[in-house]
Amino acid sequence: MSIQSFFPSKRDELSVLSPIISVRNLWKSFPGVVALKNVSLDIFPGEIHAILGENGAGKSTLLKILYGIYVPDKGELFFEGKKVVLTSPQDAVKNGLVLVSQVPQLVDSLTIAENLSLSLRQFSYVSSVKKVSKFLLEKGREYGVRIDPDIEAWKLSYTQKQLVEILRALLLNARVIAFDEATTLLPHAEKERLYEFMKLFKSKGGTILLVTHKIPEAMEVSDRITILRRGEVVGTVKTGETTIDQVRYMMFGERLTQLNSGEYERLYKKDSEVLVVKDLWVRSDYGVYAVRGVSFSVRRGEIFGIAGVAGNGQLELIQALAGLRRVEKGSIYLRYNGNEINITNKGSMLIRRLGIGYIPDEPVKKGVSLDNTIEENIAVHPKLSKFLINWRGIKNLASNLVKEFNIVTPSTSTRAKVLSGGNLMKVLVARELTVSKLALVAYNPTRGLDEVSTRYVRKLIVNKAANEGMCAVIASEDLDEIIEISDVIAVMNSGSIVGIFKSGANREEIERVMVS
Amino acid sequence: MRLIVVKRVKTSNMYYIGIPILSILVGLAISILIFASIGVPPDLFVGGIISGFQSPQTLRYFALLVMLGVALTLSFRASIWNVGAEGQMIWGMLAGGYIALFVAAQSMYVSPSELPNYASMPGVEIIDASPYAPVISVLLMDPSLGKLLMILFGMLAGGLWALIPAVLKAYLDVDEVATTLILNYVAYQLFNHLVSYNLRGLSVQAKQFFRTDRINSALFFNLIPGTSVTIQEVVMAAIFFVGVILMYKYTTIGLRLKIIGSNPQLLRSVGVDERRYILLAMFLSGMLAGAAGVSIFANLGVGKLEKIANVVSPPTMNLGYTAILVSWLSMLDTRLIPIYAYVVASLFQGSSILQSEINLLFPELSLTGAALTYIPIGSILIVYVVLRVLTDYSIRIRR
Amino acid sequence: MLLEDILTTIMASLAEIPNIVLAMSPIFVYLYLASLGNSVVEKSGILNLAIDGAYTLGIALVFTLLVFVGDPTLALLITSFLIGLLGVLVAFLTTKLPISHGAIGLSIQFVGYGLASFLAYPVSLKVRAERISLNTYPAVPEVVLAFLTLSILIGVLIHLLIFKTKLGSAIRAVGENPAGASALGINVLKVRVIATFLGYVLIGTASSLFLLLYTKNWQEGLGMGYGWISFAISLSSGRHPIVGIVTSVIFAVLIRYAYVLQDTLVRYGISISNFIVIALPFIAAVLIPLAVTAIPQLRRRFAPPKHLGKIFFSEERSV
Repeated sequence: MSIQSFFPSKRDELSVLSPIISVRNLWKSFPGVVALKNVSLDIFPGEIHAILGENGAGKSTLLKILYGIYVPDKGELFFEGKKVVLTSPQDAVKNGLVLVSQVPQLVDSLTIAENLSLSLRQFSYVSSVKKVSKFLLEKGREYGVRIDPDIEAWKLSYTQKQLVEILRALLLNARVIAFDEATTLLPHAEKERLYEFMKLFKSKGGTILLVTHKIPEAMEVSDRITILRRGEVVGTVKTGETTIDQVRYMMFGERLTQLNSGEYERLYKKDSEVLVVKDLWVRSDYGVYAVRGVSFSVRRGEIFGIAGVAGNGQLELIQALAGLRRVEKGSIYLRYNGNEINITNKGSMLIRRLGIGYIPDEPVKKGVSLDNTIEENIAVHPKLSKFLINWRGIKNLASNLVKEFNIVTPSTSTRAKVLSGGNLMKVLVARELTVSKLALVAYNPTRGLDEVSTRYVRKLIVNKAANEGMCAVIASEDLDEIIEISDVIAVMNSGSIVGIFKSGANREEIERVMVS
Repeated sequence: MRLIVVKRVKTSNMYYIGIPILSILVGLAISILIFASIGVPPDLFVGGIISGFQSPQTLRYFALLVMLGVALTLSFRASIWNVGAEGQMIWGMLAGGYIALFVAAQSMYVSPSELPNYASMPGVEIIDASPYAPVISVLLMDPSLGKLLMILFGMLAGGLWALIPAVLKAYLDVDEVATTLILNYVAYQLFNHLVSYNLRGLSVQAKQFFRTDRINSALFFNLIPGTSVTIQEVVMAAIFFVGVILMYKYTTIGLRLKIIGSNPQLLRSVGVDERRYILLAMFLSGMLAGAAGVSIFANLGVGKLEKIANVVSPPTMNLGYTAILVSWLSMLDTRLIPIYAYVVASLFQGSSILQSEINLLFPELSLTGAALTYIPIGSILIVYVVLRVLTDYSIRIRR
Repeated sequence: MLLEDILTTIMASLAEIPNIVLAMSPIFVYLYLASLGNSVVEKSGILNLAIDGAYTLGIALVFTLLVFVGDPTLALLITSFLIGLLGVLVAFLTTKLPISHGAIGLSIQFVGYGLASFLAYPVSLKVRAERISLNTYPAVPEVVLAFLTLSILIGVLIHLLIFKTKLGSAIRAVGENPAGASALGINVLKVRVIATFLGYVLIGTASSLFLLLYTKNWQEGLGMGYGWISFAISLSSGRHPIVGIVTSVIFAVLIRYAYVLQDTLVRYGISISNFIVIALPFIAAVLIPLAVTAIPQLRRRFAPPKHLGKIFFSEERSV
């Protein structure tokens, strides 16, 4: 699927001096945090406007207010000079704003036609899906997009789903298309194509709102950048008239000094192999093989990074290593103290007891229990309590971990739901690192964390590997992360390892192997 | 102007106390209105409820509801809706009955001529003094041991019955509300079958009606003088209550049972097989319900198992459903169960007092026991469920 | 001659078929329509645990209305409408407020049971005292077959609605991914209200026909548990309108011919009591869903909507 041209939108002539979207004095709070403080901002028609900030700066909240998902505590919104009160995404769409989010908002089990029929107001509830399907085929031809409207959405790739969302925006006659971190999960080539589309849309009179936390991206494609920090607007700059360093300073302010440039000391006692994986075959949830004959071994103190575009089997591999997914063929061995233990399909309890830590995908959803206290979240691990819970021991451990990891919390007996996402993640990582004597298996260990916490977690993993000989298998969708911490980088594509690189390898080589 | 529901910044403890009380009051008010619409005077209704609080019978329901409340709270906290307590109690009754009638004691025919010899023999009791085929019951073991066996087997039976929906949920992800509820109906009919055939009594009444013999009176649970509650019920209620609280506080099993309710995925991630804990939660829940079932059966007023004529009024008195109210009103906090067990027991007793009064004073108004129990329970439940939202969310008006 | 015997048995059985169909139809109708209604409601993501309460209440309502209104069809229509409104209440409470579906369902179930006894018991006494004869539908083949065809027709229409129209896509979207549906532009509440009204009207019709076409009288507790059987039918047919026909037939056979089964088993030396016979449809209601979920292919095809029973709530919502 590709977009080669598109239908110019019929619009009245708008004065380029008046903003197409304006917010004035927006305030928004949630339990325990003020997300937006007195935010005012103008977006002019015909520009690509980037909203830049690290995680937690308030970008997402601002966007959700613009899209009618949240209602601000105070402040006003203006679309084309008119004050508006938005109570749902439909209101925003009516005003010409359509959102393309990072996670495609399509219903997987429905076909594209069924999905898009829900957005197209011109079709009544009793109209047949066949009619919509025909309409989409026609429009697709007009726009030069080749789609099969009768495919179920779950069969589409991530890029294809995003294309459907963009098509939807065009069909809804969007004047402003907002992209919420939409490029984070795209391979390089697709990212470029998306930028092309944005520039094309702009040339036809459209406006693009780009919400991102990646400075290079904002610098590459936008006309102006508004930087948010801790819920406040730091400033708006013209992209052509600023530098990366200046923007970075605006994003992080005085915390710049806490960032080091990512060089870690590597002194390992790399000797014997600890984890051996032989010819592993693992199925995905849909029944097809996601991991096809993967073999590798990890030595003591070594960090084995698995890179690749999401959906190529990395998740299933990590889950199999953690004992949470059935291995159909092949085997996994652990070697330590001269013993060799076959841990294939022996259950995850054994794996935990042997001292292997696990950081799951969706860590907040799967790795912690929000309704329970920090102490309880630690005590639940089988390596930390047998039959009776030694509360004194747990409390001590918890206090130590809180101190060591800089976890911001009123106490160790507070319920986890009070903590921010980053601190929750720290609790999880703290617990897992405590119990991983032999190995750590992790998927996207720093996703969703702010820059400081991310660096902290990475440093910890590297240190534990270096000082205590823990070996690690880390899969991440963030190539930067893999390159930063791994000793060995394996690239997974379509279920197999298609390339192995040593640390320090050429980044372009790695990317090429990822998408080939 | 719109009403917006927003998640609370801080959950207020005041709501934990206020909402259950408010639910009871509003729910009762709604019931008063409903009954007033057909002519039940509100003061009669209120009077009936109040006398429920003071009636000695209430203690009995109190003890039973503590047992059942703890049983249900155990499973509800593990996010398992055990609505099958009725069936589990039935099996408790059946197992307890079986022990009482065939293991701890045995009934047999004797010839009419020999009957007087048995009148004063220790361990023997005349069940049916009919002139043609008298029946005696002979104790086969020490009655305390017998009673203990009744309780243990009752608990085992209840636990096993609860395992059926538990296995379906744990391994096949079949929703447990439907299965536990449907199994209640199955349990009622199996009860009827067993009582009418396998456990059928020998006495004349047992032959005539579909029921078992009366059990040997040595096997009745011991009434606390002046009340209708037995020592065994009180002791069991206390043990279950304290035991479960201690379990939650000090054991890993207890912690995991709590967490399986808040986030089963966490258990899976740390290597715990959450399916086993689903089974455990239901088994424990069923066991405690089974114990309650034995208690109902081994009471002086009952002492026999009789065919259920209409599923609307089973021998378990629908306490399995009433206990849901106790558990919810306690906000799933085990420690609060005795309070709400007492309140609900009073309401329950109050409604039966009310029923007899209404039938006496207003015979033209025909109200069944079912209406008088389900309407207040249901009203309080609905009000509670809606108000419960307020503990975690607040409703604001936004321009 | 053996061949002649076989042929005559087959001819005799074939001749029996119209009678069998006639005998099973009322049961099929009240099971199938309720399971249809349940399927529609659950496809929109609402776990329909209030079904038995609504069912029992429907039966009581139609009984009461019949005595006061006289005409069975009018009683049926009013009952269906009122039960439909009950569904709308369920939709509101589960969608607007972050309340567990199970809690709402169970509460309404108990209220339904209570109101059923409350309304219909006095009426039943009046009926007995004044020897009122109930004007239910006559048990003639024309009427029975009419309802049979009507039910199947409704089933086909519902199938077309759910799978071929935009409304159907909206209902399914809300059940699978309400957040996504909302992002795509659907008013989740509106869609659920439509689905539950439609579904509960069907449940109300089914429960009305339970009395008007089948039992023709009322006693306390009538119908309790039959809502759950319809629930089980809906579950084991994957909430699919057409597959539901097959499952409903299976259960109708069980209910109608359980006594025949009993007699046959006696000939082989197995005797089951009348109580077991009564319990059979309930046992089946547990075993058949078990069988369906145990077979992986069936399980995948008949999987529930992904968001069924889950609370749909973002950080904040407009009420």
